[in-house]
Amino acid sequence: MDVTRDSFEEMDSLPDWFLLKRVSGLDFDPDDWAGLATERIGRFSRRERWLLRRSSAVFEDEWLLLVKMEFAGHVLLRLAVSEDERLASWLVENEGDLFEYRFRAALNKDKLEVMRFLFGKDKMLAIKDLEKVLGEENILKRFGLHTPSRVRHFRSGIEESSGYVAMHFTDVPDVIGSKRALLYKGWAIAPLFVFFGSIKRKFEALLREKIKRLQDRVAGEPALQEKLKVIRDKLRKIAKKYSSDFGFEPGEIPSGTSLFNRIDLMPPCMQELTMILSKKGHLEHGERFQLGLFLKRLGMSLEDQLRFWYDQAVDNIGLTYEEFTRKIGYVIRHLYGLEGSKIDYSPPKCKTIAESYFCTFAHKDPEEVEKTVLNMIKLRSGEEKNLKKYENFIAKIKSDTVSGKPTLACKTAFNLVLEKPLKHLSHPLQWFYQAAKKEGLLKEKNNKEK
Amino acid sequence: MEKTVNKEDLKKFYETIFDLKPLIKAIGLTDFERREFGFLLSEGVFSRNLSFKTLSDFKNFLIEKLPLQQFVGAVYDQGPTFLNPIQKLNWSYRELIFDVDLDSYDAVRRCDCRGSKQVCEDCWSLAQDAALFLDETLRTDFGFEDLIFVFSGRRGIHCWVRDSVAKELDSEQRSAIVSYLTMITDEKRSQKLEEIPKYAKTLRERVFQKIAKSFFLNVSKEDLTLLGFRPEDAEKVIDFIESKENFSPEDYYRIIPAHVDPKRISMAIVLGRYPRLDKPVTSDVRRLLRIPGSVHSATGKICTIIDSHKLEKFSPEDVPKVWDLI
Repeated sequence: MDVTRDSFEEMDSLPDWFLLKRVSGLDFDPDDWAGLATERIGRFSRRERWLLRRSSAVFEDEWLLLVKMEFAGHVLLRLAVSEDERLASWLVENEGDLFEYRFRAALNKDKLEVMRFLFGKDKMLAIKDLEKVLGEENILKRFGLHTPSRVRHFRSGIEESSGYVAMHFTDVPDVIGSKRALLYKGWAIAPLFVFFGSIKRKFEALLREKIKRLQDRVAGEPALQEKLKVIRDKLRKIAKKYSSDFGFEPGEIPSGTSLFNRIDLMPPCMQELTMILSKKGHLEHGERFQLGLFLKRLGMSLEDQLRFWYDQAVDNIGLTYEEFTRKIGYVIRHLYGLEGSKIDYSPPKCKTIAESYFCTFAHKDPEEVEKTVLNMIKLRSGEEKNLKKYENFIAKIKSDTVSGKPTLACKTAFNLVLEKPLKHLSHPLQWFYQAAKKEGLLKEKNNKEK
Repeated sequence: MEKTVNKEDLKKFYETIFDLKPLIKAIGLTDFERREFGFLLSEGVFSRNLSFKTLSDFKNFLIEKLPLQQFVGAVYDQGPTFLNPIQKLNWSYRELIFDVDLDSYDAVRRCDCRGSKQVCEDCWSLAQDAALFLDETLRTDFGFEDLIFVFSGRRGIHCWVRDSVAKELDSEQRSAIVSYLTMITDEKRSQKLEEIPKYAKTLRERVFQKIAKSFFLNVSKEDLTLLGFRPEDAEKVIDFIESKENFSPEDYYRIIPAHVDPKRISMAIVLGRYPRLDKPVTSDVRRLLRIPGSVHSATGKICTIIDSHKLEKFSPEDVPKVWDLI
């Protein structure tokens, strides 16, 4: 059985590692499916990232088999998660990270091919093509932009930077909103690496769409469902472990506790968003999404969340709660997968937050970061403390902030605020989980673990 | 006591004066029957999810109901109705909208104008600066071409971008555009300033050109002295700006004396004159906005389209009040 039927796009020039490319003839024996998928699941669960590069020692037929196995493993996972929104989110996130890793490592020409595929040939232009489209010359020179020198990472041989490109502004809202590109006649012009976040998001959106389209196919083929069950069960186990690493399983939150009200247990980004919201009565689209999903995963019900945003919003003056629920509730219901694309989104992880949402340590000046952290200490302890003893911690936080290591800075902040070291931090729920655990709020789970 | 528009005034206005052309100029006639309208029918009674098959139906509704305020929203796959509200419909498109309201400038307005209705020549120049800045940024940076500016009837300016690309933008894209244009957040309280952008060079140069020029034209020698200029330098700078027709970013760098902290000056320029846009108005794709050509019931002034070539000359004082017309 060819598992890739209608799954891939035809485009010969796309590189072999690009998993939205069409590869024909993935006619593996169904008995091999579990093995192919398990291999991939295992790598994701170990947070492994791997390249798909042909070495000169590999024969053509061996290489083709390798590529086919890679694609088959990937598409089997797509099929397996298609009926489970949460697993689908898990897969999209992992495949997104892998795509980003491979994209960064790719040759310049492959990067451009992938971008043309993702955004369309008319929405991504080399500067010389942009000049033709606009009928202008020397655009870079006119604005005093120079082609950045190529940076080589000698250890991996990865080419990190590859000159300027132009993306249509409608495709890169995050770059436009943060003013990270020159904007001219509707084109965002910047070195390619500036667009990495947008490229990854586009890949993830397309993958999500493809998974969604598989739903009907899988539902209509009981034999296929049966075959996929083994894979799905394995995935659930892994995803559950992954989920408990990063946040809560529903049973872990003791009933009757409203953990989502414990702002003092929240990581800096969420504390700040909560404060901005209560001060200004409004959050940006992405920030609303970030905070809303976080609160959802802390167990805030749809009704509580509607009430929360109604109480905080100043943009709905004169609306009754019922009117608000009817008119604005759409956005909140969307977070719970009840509207629009009906996706039960998971809260974004730290890396995604730093790239596209609001991260204290990625988006604020070191001086402001210092203030935020000191405020958090005050909020936890309820009093001004002798700040002298925190000097080293604060200096480390500020230095990591300046050097673009937001997660490290956040980890140190956890250590300082909660007075407890943290081994690993890659998701805001992890901060909350550990803080709640320290407070003894997750007793049930601790007992279970014992 | 300030005169307000009553139902009798509105009856005469809608029957004899109300002109549909400004509305048609803003939204066109295509898809009129699928467009949402909303009205403040009387104090505290707001009604939206309304649509009209024809322009005459729309005008008859106004004459019959005499709404105090009139608003227009987005286009949906069907005309919204009470039983078929916008929440149940698929959003089709909406012009890209920007709203400049002088109450966002209260923390920096130097005149005595405060509250809901007051505006003077001095503070109106802030709204003009914002409109001119918007006009150039939307055209040069985003490549939009079809823009109209509308006096809101009280103390603000609305900008409607009617290009087809603009109409189809989703909330995230609109939010990104308004973030690109924003350099001051929480403008009514803390007035937090962003750094002048380093990479968005067109925007950066416009700040040092348009906004800086306006700042120096509106600042006193004493103000400049407080910012660190020597009195003689302050005088020279003001004279230079007044004599310079085409002020460039290079001119800006030239006039800042070496001993003055350039960051302090650039922050004062942004704080004092940079446009302050109402972000939710732009981001919300279902937002209702005052209908061009309608009457603002609080002031009696007509919501008037401003000739984009005459933005600099336009004054709210010249806008007729409903009582002058009926």
